[in-house]
Amino acid sequence: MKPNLAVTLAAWMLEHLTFGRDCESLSGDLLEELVAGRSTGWYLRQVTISIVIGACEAVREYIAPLVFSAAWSTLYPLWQFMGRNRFIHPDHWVTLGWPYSTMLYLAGGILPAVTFVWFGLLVYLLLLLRLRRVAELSSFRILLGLSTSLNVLLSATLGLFYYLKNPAINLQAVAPEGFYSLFHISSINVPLTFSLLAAILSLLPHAPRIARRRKFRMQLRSVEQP
Amino acid sequence: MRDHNFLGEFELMLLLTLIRLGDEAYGVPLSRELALMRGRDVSVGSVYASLDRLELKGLVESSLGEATPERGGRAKRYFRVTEQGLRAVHDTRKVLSRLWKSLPSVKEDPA
Repeated sequence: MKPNLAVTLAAWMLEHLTFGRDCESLSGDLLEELVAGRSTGWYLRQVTISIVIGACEAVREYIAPLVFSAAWSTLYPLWQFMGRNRFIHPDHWVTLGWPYSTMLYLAGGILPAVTFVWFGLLVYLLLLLRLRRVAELSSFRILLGLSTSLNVLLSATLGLFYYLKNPAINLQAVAPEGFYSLFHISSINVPLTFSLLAAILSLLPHAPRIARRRKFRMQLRSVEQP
Repeated sequence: MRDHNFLGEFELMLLLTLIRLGDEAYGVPLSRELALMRGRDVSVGSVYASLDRLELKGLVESSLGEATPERGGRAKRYFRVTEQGLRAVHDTRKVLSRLWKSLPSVKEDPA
């Protein structure tokens, strides 16, 4: 049976709109059914359903980290309240000379937010460990997650500065009494959420389905080259 | 606390069909057998999505088979139930059996 254009196009779409899954075997199964007597309409319907299911599964994989990050970021005022004057007190830097005083001044502003994100990451990992969803966790991955979260936090904060376009806000406001304050309560959730989400995705960079897809490709190569 | 892996309805059906088919279980016979047992058509995509989830949980494992011309040269993916999968089926069966014991009987319709 010679496949028509619709079937060829549908097979191509199925194998390329995979959302991290490997649809080669699925595509083969559908073709086998088509050759066995199923209609083109049935084939196209199956392909459409498979693509939609693939997209839903992909979204489902990222929804948990996203919801957790957003929910965790709402706890920041509590963290701020608990950590008041516990991180770097202004008295610590005024006695120091430049550049240490400036460095500590900036660190004093960023540290509560960074430690909050990292603590959130730790909580998420503990939850994953409890659910036994963490297969392996190297020190490289941990360092990558921590550094990515810091970079994303700073970038998202600067982006938020730009977005807010408040002339009263400048980089010096990244201080304990400045940007990360209750006044910006709703907007600070954005960099915190992005930062935590980036950390989680960096730490667990290969979604299970993508990892499986790689394993499948390797298997396929070994089958093709005996 | 013991770690339980209770199965959903479709997952349970899928695992039972895999056990029933044995070594010949790949997408096409699996979907046909499931459709036959359920009495309605099954989407092959949903079968694969469930198998993916079961494989991630370690209840199923897969290996690549031969590629045939009618499949457009695409390899078959054979699935088999793991030891953990078999245990999950037994655990689910035990729980369901216990729950079914308290199922009240339905009165016969006099009409």
